[in-house]
Amino acid sequence: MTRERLMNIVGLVLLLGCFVASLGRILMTRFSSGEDGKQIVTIRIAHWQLEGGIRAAFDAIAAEYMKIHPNVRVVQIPIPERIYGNWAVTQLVGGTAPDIVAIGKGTNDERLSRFFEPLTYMMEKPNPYNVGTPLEGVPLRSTFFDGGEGGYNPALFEYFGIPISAFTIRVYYNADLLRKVTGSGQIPQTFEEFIGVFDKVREYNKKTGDNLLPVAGSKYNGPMLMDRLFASQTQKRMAEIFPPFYPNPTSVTMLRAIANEDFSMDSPEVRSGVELMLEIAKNMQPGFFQLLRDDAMFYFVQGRALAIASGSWDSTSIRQQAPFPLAIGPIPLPTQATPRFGANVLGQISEAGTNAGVQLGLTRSSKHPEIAKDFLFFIASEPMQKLWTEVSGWLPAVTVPPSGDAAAFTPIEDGYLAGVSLRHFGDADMNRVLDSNFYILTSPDGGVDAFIDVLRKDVPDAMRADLVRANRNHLVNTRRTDTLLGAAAWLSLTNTGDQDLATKFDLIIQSSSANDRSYNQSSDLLKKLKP
Amino acid sequence: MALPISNKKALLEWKLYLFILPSLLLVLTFAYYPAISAIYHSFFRWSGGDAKEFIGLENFRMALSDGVFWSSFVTIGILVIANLFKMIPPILTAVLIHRLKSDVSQYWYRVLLVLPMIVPSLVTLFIWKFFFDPNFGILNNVLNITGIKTLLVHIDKFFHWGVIHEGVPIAWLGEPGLIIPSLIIWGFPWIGAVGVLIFLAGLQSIGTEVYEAAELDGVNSFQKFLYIELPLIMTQVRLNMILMMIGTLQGFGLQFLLLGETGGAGGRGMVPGLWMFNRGFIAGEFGYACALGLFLFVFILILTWINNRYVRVEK
Repeated sequence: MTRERLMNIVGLVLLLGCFVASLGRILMTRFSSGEDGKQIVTIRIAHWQLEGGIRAAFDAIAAEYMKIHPNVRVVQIPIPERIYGNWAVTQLVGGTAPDIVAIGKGTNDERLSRFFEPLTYMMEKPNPYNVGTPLEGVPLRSTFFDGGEGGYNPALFEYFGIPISAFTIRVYYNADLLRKVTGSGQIPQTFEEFIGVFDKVREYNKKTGDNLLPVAGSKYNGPMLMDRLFASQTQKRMAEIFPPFYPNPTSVTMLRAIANEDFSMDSPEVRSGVELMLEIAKNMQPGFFQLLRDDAMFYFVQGRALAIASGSWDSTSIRQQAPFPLAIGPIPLPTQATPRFGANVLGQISEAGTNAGVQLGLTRSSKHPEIAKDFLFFIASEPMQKLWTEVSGWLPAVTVPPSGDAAAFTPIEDGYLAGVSLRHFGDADMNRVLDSNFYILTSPDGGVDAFIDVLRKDVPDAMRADLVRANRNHLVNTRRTDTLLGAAAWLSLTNTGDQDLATKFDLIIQSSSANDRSYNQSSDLLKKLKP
Repeated sequence: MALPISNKKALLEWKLYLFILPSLLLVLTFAYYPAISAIYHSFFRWSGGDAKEFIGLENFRMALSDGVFWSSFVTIGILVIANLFKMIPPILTAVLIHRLKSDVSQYWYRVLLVLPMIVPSLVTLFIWKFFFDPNFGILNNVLNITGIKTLLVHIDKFFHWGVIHEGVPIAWLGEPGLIIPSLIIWGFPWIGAVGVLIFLAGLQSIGTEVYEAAELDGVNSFQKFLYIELPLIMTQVRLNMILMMIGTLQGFGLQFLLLGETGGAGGRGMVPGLWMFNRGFIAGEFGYACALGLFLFVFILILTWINNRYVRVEK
């Protein structure tokens, strides 16, 4: 046998060997059976939470579930956030989506109704895994601290997600550097102290010759701080325009305020908000808007920045990467007593309206929907939520007090309603205007006036484009409920004695009317604001 | 080259066509079906799901009055012109390698060129992004250490550009006036391995007798390049030019990774492909994005035709 022939045979054998091994693995996975001889069922969960501790938390909960259900195997599929939306759409359209899919990226109303199972009936039932806990017998909806609101879709009248966590925004400080810079190591409690710390960083740099950054910024982290501060400047005005409690600000709300000439880019609140944004932006690295989330994180964990603003979702990752102790505190906002920025504020913003997050949806393509639902009950149960918090460091979604590392992120309930940030004025086009022109605010040749000039010029068109798009989608969703309305009307007419049905019909009519009202208001506004 | 066969014989051997069927099916499914689907959806108001509304030529009408789309062609035009100049270093490198006397040296230079191809392009892009970092990036550090920064500040002041300031790190990707220069600087010294290998293949097909005759005529090195090598690799130059133009016009990965989906500060890095992506995936206007794609297709087609028609190759 020639050497060449021998090599060909070796190659072929290797190829066949790999193929047989792969095939065997797939068949074993598919037809493997548990101790009782029953076939093992696999439940797959897809999500984009790649932050530190999360995959371990999913695995820990899956392991607990598999202990009591030996015939079920729970597998997680973590997908990077950047491509998650595209990936999810491809899987959903192709009918190959996992049983449980984290919703929120690539899952608009249309896709939710088409590819996901409504979970409203689950929300009404007590969670069977809460037996023996203080939440025993409580309907699932009421076990969540937000009453399940985060998973409810008002346009589709259904719950589509079971939440498992919650998020708040905080400022992370390098505790060692904070001690070196301030001498005390105390976290700033007031806005003045917050700005004061940054001044001390500059003094520290002068003294030591270091190049320490006050705040690590990026296109991702910078707006977290600046938007919250800008919003503080619109609190009072929002309360005046929409008394007594203004709704969650949306582009429609804000466009209405602009159409009624209650608010404009020339409002003093916008000016002081922009000035405040600049005040903070000066403490971030020059050109920070060109940097990504990872770049800012790199600055911070390398000890090149004193602080960074980010969500509670980053806490475990930061703890894992930072070789220094952390100090975590809320973003200190101006109060009415703050000399330069106090005129337009009400006070510290309450986080009581925080919704639970990481909504897990059940796909219609699931081959084992009953087991997947059971797992959703399991992961949302009180004991598992405690385990979730313990392993991930993230907040729980149910009404259990957060413990350990997560405690620093507990929503602050006292305070006032938040104002609006510039991003509340629209969607894709508004964000484009802001992101593309932010450099004007920080440029040596730009500044507050130049930035407001751009806002005055570009914001109305961007808002209009966003509203036209939102209105169009709204119309599609409203039309979708026509069938449901017809069916509910018919059933309520034919089953006059059914009180439940009558109540449901009323609810559907109310929601649909709200949708119609919202659509009509938006249409009127668009007519009023025709270019 | 395959020998011509009669139609009768071709029909008799029909079974042989089954061999090309899998490839044909794959091409139809993955190349033609998406393209046809894009043409179809460009006539709809469509947000990517199953609900869509027929709106005729509305998307095309919108595209014609889309200021961002048309201004993105100015950016891409500058990048295409810059990329034409960026073809010079690969040609020169290929000539230098080709002229090496030792075959072993030639081999190792080729290996050295191919090795970086192992590094995923995404990694290269991120490394470059780090080069451009205003505070810790290599580029600014080099400019500071060598004192070139001071020179640039003076030049900036002289021409009133207002993009490079004393005591402020240069925000290469954060200052609109520097975005296009940064996109051009990217990849310096612009010696792309594929380009060099293509040119090298062309150079190696030149017979030694041509060089011998030139030497007898007393031709110097530069004249050899100008009158022998360059004319004889024009087929490769044209191929590279077409590939470069299509790649530059269609591509948006570089801009997306370096500047984000809005094209960076002032939207100065916005190119047609990125705007198409922005409208489709950020604004959710997939129908409109398809219409933009068709405009881009027509534009590329015209440029390719001009290239084929006017970039002559002497046989």
